[in-house]
Order: sequence, then structure tokens, then C-alpha cells
Amino acid sequence: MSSDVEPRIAAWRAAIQRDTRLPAENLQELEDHLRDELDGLREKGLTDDEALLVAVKRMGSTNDVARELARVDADRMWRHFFETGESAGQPASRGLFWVIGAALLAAALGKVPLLFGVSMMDTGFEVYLRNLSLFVVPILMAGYCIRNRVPLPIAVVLVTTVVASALAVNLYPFRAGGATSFLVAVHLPLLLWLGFGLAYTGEDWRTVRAPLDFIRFSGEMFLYAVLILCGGVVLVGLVVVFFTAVGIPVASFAMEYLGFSILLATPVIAAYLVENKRSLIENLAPVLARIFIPLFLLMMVAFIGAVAVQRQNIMANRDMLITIDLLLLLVVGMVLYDLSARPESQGFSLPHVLNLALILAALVIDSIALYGIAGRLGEYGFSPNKTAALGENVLLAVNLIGLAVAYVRVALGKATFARVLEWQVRYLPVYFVWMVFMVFGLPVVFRFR
Amino acid sequence: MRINRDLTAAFVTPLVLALLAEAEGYGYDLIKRVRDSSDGAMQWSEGMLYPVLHRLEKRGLVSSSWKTADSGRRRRYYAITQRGRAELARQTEEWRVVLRTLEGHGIGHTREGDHRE
Repeated sequence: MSSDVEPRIAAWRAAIQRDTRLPAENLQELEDHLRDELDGLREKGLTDDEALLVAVKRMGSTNDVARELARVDADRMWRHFFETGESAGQPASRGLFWVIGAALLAAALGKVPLLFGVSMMDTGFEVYLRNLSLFVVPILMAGYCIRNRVPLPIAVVLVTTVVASALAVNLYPFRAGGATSFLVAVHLPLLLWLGFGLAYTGEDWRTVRAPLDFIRFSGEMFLYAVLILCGGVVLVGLVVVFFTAVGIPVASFAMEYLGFSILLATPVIAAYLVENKRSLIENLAPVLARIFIPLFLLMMVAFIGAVAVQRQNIMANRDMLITIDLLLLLVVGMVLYDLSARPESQGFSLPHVLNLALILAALVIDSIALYGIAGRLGEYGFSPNKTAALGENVLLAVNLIGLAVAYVRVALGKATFARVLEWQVRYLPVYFVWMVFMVFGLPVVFRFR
Repeated sequence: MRINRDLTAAFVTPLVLALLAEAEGYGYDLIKRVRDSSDGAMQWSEGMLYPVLHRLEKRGLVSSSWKTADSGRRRRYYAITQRGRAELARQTEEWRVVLRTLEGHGIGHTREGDHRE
């Protein structure tokens, strides 16, 4: 085969893989077909260039083929779990083997503190809380690093992040029950998650598509995780009820071992499900986003009205700070999700107006929060919680303003939706830097209070 | 003339099974064999065939295996299974009834003189 054709076949294959995430086996089959088609055309006297042009054109419906094939695979979903002996299912069952291994490893890592004599009861609880994400996210990182063959510099960054955070959260002399301990526990998962994003995207992290893929992946994984955890809660509940009924009190065992193990194994299983059974959740997630965007909009507008009437400082307690940041993050996530799931060709229509309204409502709430924080800062000075809240609300405000501006530009016909997504992706590293400060810097600044 | 999609969908399963019962084959090869035996009337697209093959495999009617062809390229070959043969026999019976009925109403006859009310 001429050397000229090879890179173009590779590009063709890469494009299909990107669009459809078809298993390698099916991709190979389609590529074979293309090559057969090429050979046939060459025999008829076409040049390499002409032959490739015609062959690709004939396979023009490849996206349809791939989609059809993906559907066949999705139908296969539950069979894979039960009929692992089938010859065709072998690669999948080997994948399953690794996943189960990884899930067990996560559950086992969760027991490492016991080696240091730290149990989950009383004071040890905080240690577990701070370490929670370290039990499982590094496993996901390692899995994707291997799968994507990430370049060495990225691997070094990831290993450094994991090791440094493990040392920091366990060697920093946190005061028990202190604010910094709690804030680190909340922010470390976010830091590690962004690091996981780096492993997920590999060397494509500079592109727009790959990080966006990761954002969608995170959303889909979250949905799967919620489903699995619901099952887990039922399971643990039943275990407690049944064994207590026969006079064996297992509540603490069930929580500490069974429940905790399920909790840690869930992200691994969820990631596997998203990777292999994506079409199932992919259809569900945009629907959920579309149902909840209007509902959230109503809730937020009502809340803004309530604040205007009651005139209370809503930033008085820590839980409220976290809830507001969570809400704003959710808004960004839903808008992105909705946007990335819509066809590019669609003009600026009602759903986009709703998204813009949602962003603006979020901005108003963010301003209220910032106003409240500023007031308290003036009165009492800086504290760990207020510093965290200030930083996060400023970050989110900039994020929301950027999204709003990009949206308005699209509405005015000055930009495309791709620009909105691009803006969001370019902003992600800022979060990473902030999370690094929250985990490593903040406790030191406030002397581990 | 070309055969339309709905009609193709109706008989693609028995035909694929029959082709594989004659000899195992890969996707491109099956498309070629059908084109040749129909004198070019049946131009199957890979968009139709591969999903069908994968579904048949899922149902256990055909099995697939990767083999290295003479050209040195690895190809996915499909072969009919025992269950596939049973299914083919069953569908052959059905088609016999269908064809006989069609013929009884003058459809499927090639001679001019058979076209009568």
C-alpha cells in the first residue's frame, strides 16, 4: 500500500473513533472493508487518490454504520454481564476483569488507614474524609494513563499531584474539627478530578474537544454513580435489617466495610459503564438537563425574589456557602451539557434563551453571595471559610460572565456556539490553580485552624 | 433494477445465513458474492450488512473470528453456527410458503404468458 494513503486511512479511522467511540474490533472491521474497497477500485485502474476518494465516499454513511453498530453493542449490554464465556465477548470480559480488580483495589485502599491504627470512629473520621478521593481517583488516573499512553510530562504532573496531596492531607497538623481540615476534604476531590481530566484527555488536553468530552464524561459518570449508590444504599439497608432481625448487630460493620467499599468502588464501575455502555446514559443525560434547566431557573428566580423581600445575609453559615457554589457549578454543568448535546446547526432558539436566563440568574445569586461575603469580611476579617467562599464565588462569577458574554455574542450573530464551549474549556486551568491553593496553601496560611 | 430497502430487510437474514452456509466469509466478500449472484441487482451497503452480521452473532446464529488473509491482512470472518443452520432451515420453510403463495398469484413468474387475472 502506498505510503501516501496510510495516513489518510488512519485519519479516517481516528475521525470515526472520535465520533462514535466504537470498540477497536469493530473499527478494525470497517477499516478492512475500506481497504478491500480500495483494492477493488485499484484493480479497475483508479489511482490511489481516486480510489481513496471513491472508497471513502462509498463508506460515506460510515457514521450511520457506526451508530447502528453501537446500537447493536448497546443491546448487548446485559448479556455481557452474564454470557462472558462467549467467544465474541472475550475482550469485553477481560475489560470487566480489570474493572473488578480496580474496584476491589479502591475498596482495599480505603482500609489502608487501619494499618496506621486509624479507624473510622470518632477522630479518625476526619482522616477518612480528607483521604476519601485519594482512595479511588488515583486508580482511575492510572487506568486512563495506561489506556491513553499519556506522555511522560503529564504522568509526572499527575504522580506529583497525587503524592503531594497524600503527604499534605496526612502530614499537615490539622486541628481536629477545624475549618481548614474540612475545606481540604471538600477541595481535594475537585483537584484530583481535574487531574483525572488530564489523564482522560492525555496529550489532547490543549484541544477544545477532549476537555469537553471529559466534562460530558463526568456528567454521565455522575448519573451512573448515583444509580449505583442508590442500589448500594438499599443493599446496606437490607443487610442491617436482616441481620439485626436474627440478633446479629451489624450496623457498624455494614457501614464501615460494605457501604464504604461500595462507595469507593462506585466511581470505577461508573467509569467503566460510561466507557462501554455509553449510549444508555447518553440518551438520558440531555433529557434530564432539559427537564431541570427550566425548573432550576424557576427555583433561582424565586430565591432571588425571596432574598429581596427578606433582606437577610445568606452567607452567614458555611453550608450555605457550599450549597451556593454547588448550585452555580451545577448551572455551568447543565448549560454546557445541554449545549454540547445540541446539533451545531441549530440557531439561537428558545432553549438557548433559557440557558442564558439561567446563567444570568446564577450571576445575580453569585452577586448576592459576594455582597454578603464582603459585608462579613469588613466586619470580622478573613477566615478560612470566607477566603474559600470569596475565591470561589469570584472564579464562578468570571466563569458565568464569560459564558453570558459568549452567549450574547452568539445571539447577535457575532460568534458560534463553538466559541462558548471553547471559552469554558480555556477557563478550566484556572480552577486547577485555585484548587492547588486550597489544598496546599490555605491550611498553611491559616495555620491549620 | 435495484431492490428497495424494505424488501431487502425482509430477506437479508436468510440470505446471509445461506451464504455463510455455503462458505464462511467477511463483510466485503459477502457483498461481492450477493452482487455477483444477483447480476448486480443487489448492491448491499456495509451500513446495512455489518449491523445485521453483529446482530446475528449476538443471537448466536453466526460466529466470528479474526484470521490472517493471504494478503497478510487480518480479517474478521463469519461462519454459520449449529443454531444458525437450524434457523436457516426454519426460515427456508417460511420462504417456501411465501414464494409458493406469491407464485400462485402470478408474482415471481418470469414468463409473459403466466400473467393472468
